[in-house]
Amino acid sequence: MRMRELQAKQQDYAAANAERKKQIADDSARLLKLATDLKAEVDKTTKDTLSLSVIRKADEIERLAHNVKEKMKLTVGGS
Amino acid sequence: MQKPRFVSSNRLPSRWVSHAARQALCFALLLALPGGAQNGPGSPSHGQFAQPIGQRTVDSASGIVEPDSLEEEKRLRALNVERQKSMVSDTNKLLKLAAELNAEVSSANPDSLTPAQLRKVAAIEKLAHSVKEKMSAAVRGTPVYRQPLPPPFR
Repeated sequence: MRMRELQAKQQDYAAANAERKKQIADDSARLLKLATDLKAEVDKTTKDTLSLSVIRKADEIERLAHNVKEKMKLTVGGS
Repeated sequence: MQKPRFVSSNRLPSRWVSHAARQALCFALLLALPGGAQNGPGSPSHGQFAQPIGQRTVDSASGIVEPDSLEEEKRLRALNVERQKSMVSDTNKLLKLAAELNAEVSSANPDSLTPAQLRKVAAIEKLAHSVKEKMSAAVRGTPVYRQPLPPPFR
């Protein structure tokens, strides 16, 4: 009985980890796209430009990277 | 310990002294805030400063630019150039790391998440924060188009 419970728990962990890894892969692709966009925006600016778009994109990248980092911590620690 | 002794004859002069001190303080405050009264409700607001940092202070009567402000303007322009270079460099690094991370994560073996990848994501987060801060803290050396910024988080 306990063996079955343990096996079921392990399967749950494995499924959660697999889902998390898929999310990490998706988020990484999104990070790359955002970073490409950010570079294009920054290349457009001059020393006198204050670009809200750059600020928003950088903020989005920061938040997304933070999320990915947290997911990775869980996955690396859990696996 | 001795208690302070108050003599009634001392009250009047001490009041005079405190009145004089208050007057001196008010005078000092007036000197410390030159032109404060000129900023009426219609004047443009640039955050904490009445005048944007680095913009020329021109004597309205003579139209002469003060030499100190010219040097300050040069210094701020140099700072702005440096800030821009640093921002471009940070963005390049960020893009490189994001490309590396994406390649590693979406490789043939997606089961292997390594601490090195975790460090890369942390570096991306820091670089993005740095770019955001550098763009937000743009030092204005020359007149620029200003977009309204959202209010700061408190």
